Amino acid sequence: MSLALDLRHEPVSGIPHGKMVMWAFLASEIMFFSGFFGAFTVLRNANIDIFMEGTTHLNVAMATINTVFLITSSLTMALSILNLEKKNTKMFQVFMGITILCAFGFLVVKYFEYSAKFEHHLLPSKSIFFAFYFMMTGFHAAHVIGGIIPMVWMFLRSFTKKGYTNHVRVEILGLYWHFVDLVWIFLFPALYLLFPGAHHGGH
Amino acid sequence: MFDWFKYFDFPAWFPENVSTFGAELDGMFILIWYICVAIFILTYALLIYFLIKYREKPGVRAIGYHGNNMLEFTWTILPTFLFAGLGIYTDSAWEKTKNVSHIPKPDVTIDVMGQQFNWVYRYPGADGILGRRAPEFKTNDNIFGVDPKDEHGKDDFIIETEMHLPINKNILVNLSAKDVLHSFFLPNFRVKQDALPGSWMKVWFNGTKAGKYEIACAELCGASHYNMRGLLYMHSLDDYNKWYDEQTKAKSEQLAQALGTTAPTADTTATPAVTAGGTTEHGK
Amino acid sequence: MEAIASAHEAHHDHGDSHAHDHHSLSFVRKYIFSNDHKVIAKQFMTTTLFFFMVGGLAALLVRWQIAFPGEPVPFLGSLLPEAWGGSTGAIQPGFYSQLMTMHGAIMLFLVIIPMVNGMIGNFCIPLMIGTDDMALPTLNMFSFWLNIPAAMLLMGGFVLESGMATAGWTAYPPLSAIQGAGQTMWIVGLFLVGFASIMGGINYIATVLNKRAKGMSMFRMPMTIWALFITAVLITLGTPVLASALVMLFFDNFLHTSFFIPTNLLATSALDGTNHWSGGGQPLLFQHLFWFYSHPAVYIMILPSMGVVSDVMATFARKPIFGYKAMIFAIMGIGFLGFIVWGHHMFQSGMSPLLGTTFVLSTIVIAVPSAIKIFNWLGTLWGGSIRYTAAMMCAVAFVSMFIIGGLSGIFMASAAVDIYIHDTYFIVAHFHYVLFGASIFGVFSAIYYWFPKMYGKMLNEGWGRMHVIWSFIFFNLTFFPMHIIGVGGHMRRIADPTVYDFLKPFQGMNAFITWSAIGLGFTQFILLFNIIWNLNYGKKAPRNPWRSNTLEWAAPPHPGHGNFDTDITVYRGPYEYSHENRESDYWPQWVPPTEEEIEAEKLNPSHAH
Ligand code: HEM
Ligand SMILES: [Cu+2]
Ligand SMILES: [Cu+2]
Repeated sequence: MSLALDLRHEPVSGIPHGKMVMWAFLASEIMFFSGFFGAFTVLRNANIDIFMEGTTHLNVAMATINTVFLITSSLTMALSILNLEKKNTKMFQVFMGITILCAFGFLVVKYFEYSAKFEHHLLPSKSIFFAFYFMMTGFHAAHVIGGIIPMVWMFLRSFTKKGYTNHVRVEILGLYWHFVDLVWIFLFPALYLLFPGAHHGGH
Repeated sequence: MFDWFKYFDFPAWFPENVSTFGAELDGMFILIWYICVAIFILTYALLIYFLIKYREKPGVRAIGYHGNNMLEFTWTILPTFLFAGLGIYTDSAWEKTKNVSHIPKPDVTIDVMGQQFNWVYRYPGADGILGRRAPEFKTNDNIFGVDPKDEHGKDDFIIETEMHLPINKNILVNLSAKDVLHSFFLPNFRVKQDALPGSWMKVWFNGTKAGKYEIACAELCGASHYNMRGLLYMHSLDDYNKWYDEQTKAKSEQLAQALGTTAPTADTTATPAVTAGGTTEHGK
Repeated sequence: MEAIASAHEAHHDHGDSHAHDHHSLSFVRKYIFSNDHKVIAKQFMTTTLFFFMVGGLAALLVRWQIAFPGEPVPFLGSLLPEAWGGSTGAIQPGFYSQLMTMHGAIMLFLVIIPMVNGMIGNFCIPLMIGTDDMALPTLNMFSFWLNIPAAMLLMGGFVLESGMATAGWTAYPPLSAIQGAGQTMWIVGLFLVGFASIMGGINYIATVLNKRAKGMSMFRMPMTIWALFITAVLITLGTPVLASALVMLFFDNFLHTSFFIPTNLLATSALDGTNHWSGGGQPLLFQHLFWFYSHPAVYIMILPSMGVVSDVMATFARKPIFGYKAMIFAIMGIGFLGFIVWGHHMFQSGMSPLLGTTFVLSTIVIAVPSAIKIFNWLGTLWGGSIRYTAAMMCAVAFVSMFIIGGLSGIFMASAAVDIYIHDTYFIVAHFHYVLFGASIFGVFSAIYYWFPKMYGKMLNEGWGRMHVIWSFIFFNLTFFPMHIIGVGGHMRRIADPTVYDFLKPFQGMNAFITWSAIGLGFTQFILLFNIIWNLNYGKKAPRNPWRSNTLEWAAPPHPGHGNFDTDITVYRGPYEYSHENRESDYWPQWVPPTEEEIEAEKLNPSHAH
């Protein structure tokens, strides 16, 4: 069907629709995690001892590895977008591949971290600290999985005859992926590093 | 003929006020009520006038008028001042009734606990001092979480549903809840405060008239929320002290029985619950 | 204004959204899993009207119990299972709580929000800004379909022995955290409703920013679009906070964490009979998060209706909306301030009284834009030539009821006065005046106004007016007396007021309210009948039956995929009614000016832009 409307002036703002929706979605996501961080701040101040004790059970080494994984993947994600824009499929595949590997690496480390906790019966109901730990890292991990799925799809598509050329889609995914990274950059210190020794509130 | 007008006389529907600050709160309601009636009449008069005057008539055309900034400015500023005035005006009463630092020196202090589905009261007993409490002592047999080691707590007596207090005394209620949220609502005293499990809220009032009043729960707390009715008996000072002595006596007998000895008879008459002068035997 | 140049290239990446051939679409793709915003709007309309009936039935059962506690429900009583209806078919207190919770949750989350956003938003946004569809049509489809499993979960307890959720629409913990499977499902269901709502909201934002017709600058958009746009922003920024609170509540309820559970809570979980909470949480924290969303949410529920009413009033008073820009700034002000007043729902909650004072002040400030809007609507009527169509009568009902609802808000905005009326029927009266009296009448107005475009058929105006008048009368008979019993101290959410001596005198009024509510309920069948009858037998609608200015009326009646049969360029604002330089009393946005009109405008410039 031919459209009576001439839509060549769209998108009016110059930002592609998908990207605009993603920006709005990320604003929403920020508010979602703000709810968690707000609650975290309030309850942490009220239960400083429990949080102090809880932090000692966490594995900072593993979390540091994960931080490296995520930051690397953010970088390679950006490089994969750059290469797709330049129609350099090979390098796109390389960098997207690394991104996917890093994301999986993150999840594998997370898996070991979680199982260590379960082994020691450190469940969400154990204390208010572990409630936050599992909820926040759990939702973050769910976001990582949510990113991996389209990544793998794009990655595999690029090997087909038609190839994958929609760099705007990859850019949009990249925005999302940087956000996932950013959330981790806040989570990591909040849960693992923020030693209450430096805190002077409490009771 | 204008009998049905009474339905629109909101202030008349309040239950009787028997607390010292109740009249002030009601007065604020009434002030806002009159302001609202005035705004209502003004806007409705305009609305109805316009609706009739400017109905579609053959040959009469509407005015293609887009608005007027001066008018917009006026009807932004006027309500702002009016509403801000109201807010500031009513703030003192708010501070007086709810701000902890404004609570007058209490003559009687008791603990009130909401639970599914009734109200439980703890009085300070013969020594006039409430035993120390802490969350870690809370169990189903000790819902107030009284420290079992604290001597002041031994003689505290606990009653359910029916509450007794003296008139013309400053009453301080420490309010909490055992299980879920409740709300301590004394309609005749214009008191309402949610009871939160895990914290103790301070609520005060001063009743002016003896009699039997109802206590309600105003926060949904489960299926029988509607049935969480308590009673508040306001007594003259003498009656209250008499009632109080009976309770302390009963308590000491009970304690003695638990210990297997007979009640000491002498010391229960030691201190009256509240003295006429209003000294704080019970306060802390 | 037109950012054509820079946008030109990017467009091709998304062209696929409207390129496919709709003739070859299967029935399923065309009517069920359709991407077309108009079909999705109709789907929202059908489901919300259905839930409107379900929620209404719950309300009538609740009212029956309050007015005639312990008496068997007529007709329906014998159908109730033992656990709900007892041996006589009278509503049991536990069932009362379920009904009351379901009524609130259904009406707010499955009726009003999807009606004003899903239905009105979907239908109006692409048509009124002159484009073919939403920015991401497939996402739009999901934002509807996700509602279905979500609604099933929300009401899921219906099939359980232990029943539905009972903690009220506000679901305050610890009560909601210690309840059974019905509550757990409710929490998950509401989370999904919120997610659906966010998917819709972000799509609306992108559509308004990216898909306006040539010449349609932001300040040429009709009020409906402005309202929907700001609402979409509120949804995008507010709903996720509710989502985070619901996640924590779900954890507390299902996994025995203690975000909202204080130390040593003496209660057991209805899910598994244990008491394994470690404690350390704060019940008030939930209320803060909840109202941080739910105060903006009340504006999510009413802003679109405000927009609709503005457009309907301009159309039928044949007048420009009074103070177009002021109206827009008022909506923006409401939207922004809406995020800093949540504490006015928590004056008696145990929050610090000093915070209470601050929230009094912010609440006062937010009442001002509401007042501005009322004055502007009055200004719109002034000097008009008012035609009393059903849609217009709904709009007038909206304004008059919103005045009352706004005034009752002033009482509660003062923390001191709120002490006594908080959690009484005074509050119930307040929010029904703003939600039913205003929002729902706005929705009715939208239905009467846009039905000809939506289905290509005219509704029956006579029945429409009957419906509005009787709804208006019964509405006031139902809800005005609630102010009175509220002042009498009547608590909300109680299954049997006769327990209290001080409430016994109000039992007559309670019965009166219930009979009026039944009348109000039955009046809605007029609307339903009007719709169903005229879908089949209605007169064919002309293209622009109300002689309106906005772009949707440039489209053919019952437009197909792609919406318009000509290209659209916008030449002026949406409110050029009764323009002084013109003979005709309206001047559609899409009609190019003639040479003479350009000349006339030069000689005698009007205020229009
Ligand atoms: C003039 C502007 C308004 C003011 C000053 C105002 C003020 C308030 C206040 C202070 C409360 C809390 C009362 C209490 O619980 O004690 C309240 C409750 C409520 N308001 Fe408003 N309001 C206004 C407009 C609206 C509008 C436009 C809506 C919806 C469209 C609305 C919907 C509600 C609802 C649903 C509740 C009750 C929530 C609940 O507890 O279940 N209000 N309002
Ligand atoms: Cu209750
Ligand atoms: Cu509010």
